This record gives sequence, structure tokens and C-alpha cells, in this order.
Amino acid sequence: MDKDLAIYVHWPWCKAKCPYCDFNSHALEQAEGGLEEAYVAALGRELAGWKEKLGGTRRVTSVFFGGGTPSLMGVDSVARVLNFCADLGGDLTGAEITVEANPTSASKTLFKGLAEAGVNRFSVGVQGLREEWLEFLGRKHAVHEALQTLEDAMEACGNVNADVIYGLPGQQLEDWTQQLEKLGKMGLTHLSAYQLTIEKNTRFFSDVRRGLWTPVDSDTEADFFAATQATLAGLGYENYEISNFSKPGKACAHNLHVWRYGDYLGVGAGAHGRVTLPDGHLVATAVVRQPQGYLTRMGEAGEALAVEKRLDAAEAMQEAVFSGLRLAAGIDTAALRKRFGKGVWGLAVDDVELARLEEGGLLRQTGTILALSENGWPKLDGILRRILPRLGEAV
Amino acid sequence: MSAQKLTHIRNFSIIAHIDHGKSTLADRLLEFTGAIDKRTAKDQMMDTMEIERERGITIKANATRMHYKAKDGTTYQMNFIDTPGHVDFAYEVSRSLAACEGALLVVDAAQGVEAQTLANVYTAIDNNLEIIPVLNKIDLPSAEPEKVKKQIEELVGLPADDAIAASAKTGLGITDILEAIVHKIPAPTGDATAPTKGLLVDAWYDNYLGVVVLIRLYNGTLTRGSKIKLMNADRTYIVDRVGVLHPQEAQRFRNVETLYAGEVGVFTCAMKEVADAQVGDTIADHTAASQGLIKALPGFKTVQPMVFCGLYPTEGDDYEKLKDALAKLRVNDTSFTYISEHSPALGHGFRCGFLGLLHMDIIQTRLEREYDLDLVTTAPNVVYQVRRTTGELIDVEKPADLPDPSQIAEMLEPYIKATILVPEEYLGSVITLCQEKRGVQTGLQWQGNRAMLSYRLPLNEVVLDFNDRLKSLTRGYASFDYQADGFEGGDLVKVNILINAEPVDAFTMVVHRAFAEQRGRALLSKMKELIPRQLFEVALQAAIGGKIIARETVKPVRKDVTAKCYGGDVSRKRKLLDKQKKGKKRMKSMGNVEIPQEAFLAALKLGD
Repeated sequence: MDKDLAIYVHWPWCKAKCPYCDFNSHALEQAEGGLEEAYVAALGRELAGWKEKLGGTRRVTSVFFGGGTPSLMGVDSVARVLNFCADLGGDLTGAEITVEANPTSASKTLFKGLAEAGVNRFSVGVQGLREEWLEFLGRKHAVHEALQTLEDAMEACGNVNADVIYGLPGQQLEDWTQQLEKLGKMGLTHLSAYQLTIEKNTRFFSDVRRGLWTPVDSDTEADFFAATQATLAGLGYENYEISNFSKPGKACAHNLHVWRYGDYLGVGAGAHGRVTLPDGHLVATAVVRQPQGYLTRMGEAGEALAVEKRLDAAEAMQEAVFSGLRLAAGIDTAALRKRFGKGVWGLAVDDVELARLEEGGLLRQTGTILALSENGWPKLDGILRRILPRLGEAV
Repeated sequence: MSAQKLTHIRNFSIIAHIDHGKSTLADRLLEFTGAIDKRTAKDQMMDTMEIERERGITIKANATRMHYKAKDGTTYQMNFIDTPGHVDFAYEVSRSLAACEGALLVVDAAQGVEAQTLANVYTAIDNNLEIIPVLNKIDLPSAEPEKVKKQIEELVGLPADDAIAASAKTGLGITDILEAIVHKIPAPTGDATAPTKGLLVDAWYDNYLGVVVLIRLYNGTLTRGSKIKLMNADRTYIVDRVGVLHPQEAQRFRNVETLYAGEVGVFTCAMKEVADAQVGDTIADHTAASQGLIKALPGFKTVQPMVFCGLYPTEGDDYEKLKDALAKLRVNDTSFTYISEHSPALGHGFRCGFLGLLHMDIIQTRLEREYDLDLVTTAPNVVYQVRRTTGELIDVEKPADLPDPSQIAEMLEPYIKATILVPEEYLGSVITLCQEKRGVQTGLQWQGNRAMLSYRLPLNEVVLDFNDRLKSLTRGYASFDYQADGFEGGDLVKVNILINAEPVDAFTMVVHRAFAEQRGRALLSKMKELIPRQLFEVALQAAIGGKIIARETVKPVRKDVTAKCYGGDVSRKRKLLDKQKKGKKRMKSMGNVEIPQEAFLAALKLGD
């Protein structure tokens, strides 16, 4: 089976843990040489292991270094990991290679070095363009530093994303759109604008529970979302995924692949993957979360999967619908039926509810393409709750 | 073996307000006459159902026979017929009282006369019973015998000069009571040699004996092999066992050879179900009845349920269990009815009819307690009489079943005569409440600082929330009782509740036109509070026919989407979604609207 492969590489360390972040990241001021070396070596072993498991090379279309703060990695480390990836994919020609960067750990030199090593896309954690928001979000950088980092990244390569967060308590709509305009006018190819979400196991979660502050209500969220769409559309950005905006043709190939439910490998501590094995089975994988545990397991066993679960066709179908509907382009129901089996659609998706929502104007079907309508766009979770029955309870 | 002379028989009943000591007094009488052994006795010997003991009320009629050697040296046969006290069972009470020649009126010497007592006393007076006032709990420091005597005279209209001072608790005055029964209550009249004729007082199903019938015999005798006819039911039976009731016998049944005219007893006759033994029916000698020699006793009627509500199992799986429980309860209580119904909101359940609110409450409680069911109860409604334009008069037990307004010539609703005893300071607010409930005042009497208010009220308004509001307005100091008082035309309208333009049966209500808008509005605003915002707008409307009288809108949720969902999030976010969907299981879907069951319940309980 010839399937394109995306590779996600997780770097689990940050200089400091942000109060809203529930990703697998661990505060570490400076990864000591030995630790980084060991981690990169482990990644190499993991990827080699996958090559064996997959029974040969698969075309690798993207590599994404996420975290944590992968810009804490040295250029050499990134280059080595890319070599491992190339080994798995034959070469990385034409592949999109992204590194996430934090303004506190990225310099002009770093970006340049990474670009020379083959990185062709940077994603910068800007988060906000006002000092008070950066402070609220626990960011350790100033506004001018974030802007400088963006300039540096753009100088090194023309394909740069900025992550920004909206819906902070007390934030004014005009203030937010001004920030977007400023970023948009810088010539970024991509913007990820996230509604602030209070996740469990974060400091914000405790803050809110203790009543220190109240998250904005869903009506305000909706206003911010609408303003974000309008502002960025005015600057020539397409809203191709719920929270993602790009200049034409500059959508993140790696994430598109994931949302389209293509195969992706997740390597490094806590990384998740979805891979079709040579026997045709699709497996969900998750690597051990704790960096130290990951290193130990890799050293002892040569692999560190905490989860390796075969997905049945209905589960996979639901995941594909779940992810794919996040895209403006929607899902191709005929292609999904073909991939997972004709009868599986009926098990995974409640067609009666689907028809109701379509009639209610939240979804639209054009040929075999099913997509959210403009109205349905900000209500995807509610829609999914209706159209995806709990497996085992359906029928 | 031989017929006892009628002069040695006394048949009596006890009328008392709840908690005024009827059951304790009955226990003492049984002990004093040696009918029960004190060492093995428990409290409330006459109340056999758990719920009767727990609430201190009597639901089913019961009887017991005791023998008392009076001061005149004669031994009297005393038949005590215990009656349900509550007005819901007014018909049963009237038949039980009709089986007696006298009654003890037991009044708590500290509490005084309560409303509930009055209705039953009037029934007793209507049945020409000799009434003996008893002031119970005379040993309480707060007892005010003189004041209470005056109340009895003024409110009940009975001479109370020689009311007996008693304490059922200590046994004080019990002999006086027994002597008064002997001397004041007349002996029954009747002819043991005439053809058998008696009153069917009550009947119940016993697991060992089958259907047991309680009878007051007026003429003739009843013995094993007697061929009898139930005149209204027009059925014939052969008596296979005759006895008297006794609380300490197995199945309460003590065999006797023969029952004679004037006596109270029980018999079995291979009757299949309790429903065949209608309270108030005439039990007659088969031959004489067939020859037309016996006239049926007056006062027989078939009781009809007055109050209706839907009962639904909270867990859909319990439907069969509920059905089974209802069938079992009905074996011994034929006065409630149930038919299967389906509500899109609540699933499968039953529409049940009851004699009144207490009856409804008792059945619900027994279902929940004795059958371990968790029930959803819809708001109660009364039965309406609808005269169609064709002239036909029909009973409507469910608001949703009302015919189209164009087919209705007239609507009649049941009325009640209410008696409310209320301390002076609350009189004003009680009058306001009664007026608000469309009541018409028919009387106001004073007794010290208490007023006895008489009102004629539509039952519809009473089932809604009258009792609760009365209680809270008067901090529980008012006592309230009512009697059915026929049907009367009213400007009633059916108010439909529409969710996204679809009428929802479970919410349909019949209200007086003047209240329609206000009630509709109140219900909608409650529903608006309870229905969560969802994908689509939910339009709530109250309508009379095609006319919308109130509306509310639950605005759609505007944003409900996970901001970040990348490769590492798929499993986690999907689990979260599944968890949320699990919560959704308790939602009832109506087209594009999802309504939490809690919203239905709360809205249906609006009146509470």
C-alpha cells in the first residue's frame, strides 16, 4: 500500500510552562548536551524501528517539529532528525518541514541555520501583541521581541505562521482586530488564531475554579471568531480550518494531511500517530509521555509506545469525520466509504441527524463532499455530538 | 348457634381528624374488651397497610368485632367499622357509615375541630347516625375541653355538654366510651327470618382466601352455602366461608357458623376479582332477589376518578415493571384507573385516574416504595365534561384529548365545596387565595379566633397548587377539606405548548381563559430557563387554537467548537465528545430540539 506519511516530532521541553498549556511539555531551562543527544538518538531509533515495521520506505510529505519548544533544539539535532526522516522516506524532496519557535529561544542565526538544514516553515508562538496579554498568558517575552522573532523567521524563510490567542477576559474586540491587522500586514503566510480554552491540569483551570477570573461566554467567543474571520479575510487570508488562516496555497501541509486523516507517525515523548501497517490495519499510537521514561524505554527496549491500538473501521471512520469536518473543504464521503467500507458509514454516522442538520443549514452536501456551512462552522462540537453516535450504542 | 337478639348489638364507627387519636383509641377499645392481647399487640392494630401506619391514616375500610360486658351486666357484641377518613374516599366513607347506627366523634382536646372532621360528621348526620363526641388527649397540658366543646356545638352543630373526656393514650375514659356506645347508640333493627339483605361495605383480595367481602347484614342470615346475588352487579355466588374480622387472626379472618341480621361480618364466595364487589352494592338472597322481592339499598354509585396524571418510569426499561405494579395495586383498589400512553418527551407510561389528590399521592408512594419504582409524575388535571355541538356529553380525562374548539358547545368543570378553618391572622390572605382561584364564598363563621370559611371552588384550581399555597400562606395552621359539588360550565380553554411549532401533549393544559396568558407565560419562561442553548433556535409558544398567547425563544448557541485539534488531540478530544454524548442520553430529542428530561419534569411541576 502506497501511502504518504507525515511525521510529527515532539520536543517535550520548554523554558517555562505556560499557564494555559496542557501539552506534553516540561520546564527545563537548558537541555544539557547529554540529554539532547540522548533524545535525538532515541528519535533515530524510533524512526528506524518504524521503517522496519512499515516494511520499507514511504513517501514522507511533511515533518513537523512541535512541542514543547523545539526551537530549543540545536540546528544539528534538527538536521540529524531530518536525516532519520529522510531515511524513512527515501528523501525529503518537496516535503514541508516546520519547526515551532518561541520568541525566547529563537534568533536570526537559529532560523538561518534551520533553513539551511532544510526547514522551510516556521511557526512562532506570538500569542499576543500587548504586554498585558503576554503577561496574563505567562509568556516570558515582550511584544517587540515577538515581532523581532517574526521578522527573523521571515528573513530566513518566506513561510511563517504566528500563533495568537483571543478571548482573554476583559479583552476588547477592536484591540484584538488591531493585533490581527498588524500581524496580517507583516506578510505572514499563515495565522493560527485560537480561542483561549481552559484545559484541565493547567494553572488557568485552577484559577477559574477558584473564581480568580471568569472565561468569556460563548456569545463573546462568537463575536471574536466572527471578527477574526472578517479581519483576516480582508487581509487575504483563507479560513481553511476552524482556527487556521492562510494566504492562498500556504495552508500547513502537515496539519492538512492529519485533518484529512492521512497516515502520520508521532515520535518523541507523548507523540500520537495514526499509521496503516503493511497488513492493512490502521493503528493508533502514543508514545510514553514522560521524557525520562521515554529515554529509558528506548534505551532498554528500542521502542516506547504506551498505546498501540488497532482501530476498527467505524472508529477510524468517526475520527476521519471528526477531523475532516474541521476543514472548510469538508470530507469526501465517497472516498471514506471506499477506504473504510461501504457499510461502515452507517455505523459511524447518524444519517438521520445528518439530514436534520443539513436541513437546518449547518451542514451542506455537494456531490460527495460534506462540509460545514458558514453557520455550522463555529458549532462543530455540537454538530459532532449529534451526528457521531457512541460506537456500540449506534444501530 | 342461635341468633343473638338485636338489642345486644352495636355497630359503630369513629370519625376523627388525622392525628387526633382514632387508631390509638381503637387499640384501647380492642384491649379493654379483651379482643386483643396487649402483650402481642402493636400500635394501629386496625391499619394493616404500611402506608396507613406510617401516615396515621386509614385507606381501606376494616372492621372488628368485640364483646363488652357492660355495667348493666349484659354482654354486647360491638362491631367497629373503621373507615377511611379522607374526602377522596368520601363514597367509601358514606357506605361504611351507612353500615353503622352510631359514631364516635373524636376531637383532639388541644387542637380542636378540624376541617376534615366536618365533612365526615355531616355524612354521618345524613345517615342518621347517633354521634358521641369524645374529647381525646384530655391529659395534655394544652387541652382546652371547654373551648373545644363550644367549637363542636358551634361548628358541627352538635350538643357537646356531655362529651366524654378521654385519653386513648392512658386509657382514661375508655369505659365511659364503651358505656356510651351501649346506651346512646341504638341497636340495629332487622329480621333474621326475612330474606337475606345486606350492604357491601368493602372488599379486598387476600392471597390465601381470595376476595373477601365485608358486609353489614340488615335482614336474614348468611352461612356457608347461601346463594346470594349482588344486585347492581347482577351476579350470583355461593357463599363458601363466613366469619368476622379480628386483627390477631391469620388473614384477620375468624370463622363463624352464621351471620345474622344486624351484624357485620365477612364472607368469601369464589369471587374472581375485587372489581366484582362494588362498594355499596346490595347483597341479597338469590331467590328472593330474582323474584323481585328485594329492593336494592339506596345510595349505590360507581365512583369515577376525578384527578388524572401521567406516570412514567424514569428508566424506560421499567415500563413493564410499572405495568405489573399497577395491575397488582388495582387488585385491591379498583377506584383508580390506568391506561397505557406514550409521550414523545417521556416515553411509555400510563395515564392514571384517582379519586383525589391524596389518593394519587398514596398510589404513587406505594408504587415507589412497595415496587421500588422511580417515577415521573406529570402535573395533575381534573376530568372535564364537554358538550359537543352535536349535543353529546363526553368526559375528557386528558387535556390533549379535548375536541377541536369548533366542536365544543360547552365545557363543564368539576367544582368542590371547600371548608377551611383558619386562624384570624391568616384569614385575609386565605380569602385572597380563594378569590384568585375563582372561588365563591358561601359562608364565614367564627369560633373564637378561628374562622370557618366555606368556598365553592373549581377543582381544577385546587389540584394546581392550592393546598401548597394554603399551607405556606398560613404556615400550616389552616385545615382544608372538600367535597365534590357537581360540574359547572366555565370559560375554559385548551392551551397548547408548541416547541418549534410542534404541539407537545405532555404540556397541554386546560385553564380558565382569564388565566391562560399568565399560565402560558409562566410555563414558557420556566422552560426557557431549563432548555439549554443548542445548535438551533428553539421557539417556545403557548397557543389557544391558532392564536399564540405567549412566546419565548431559546437562542441557538453561537460557538461550540474545540479550538485546537491536531494529531495528538484526536483520541483525547474524541473521548471527551463521547463523554458529553453520554450525558446526552438523558436528553429527549424532538426533531431538531433536544430537551433534558429535567426540563420536562420541572416544567410539568410548575404548579408545585
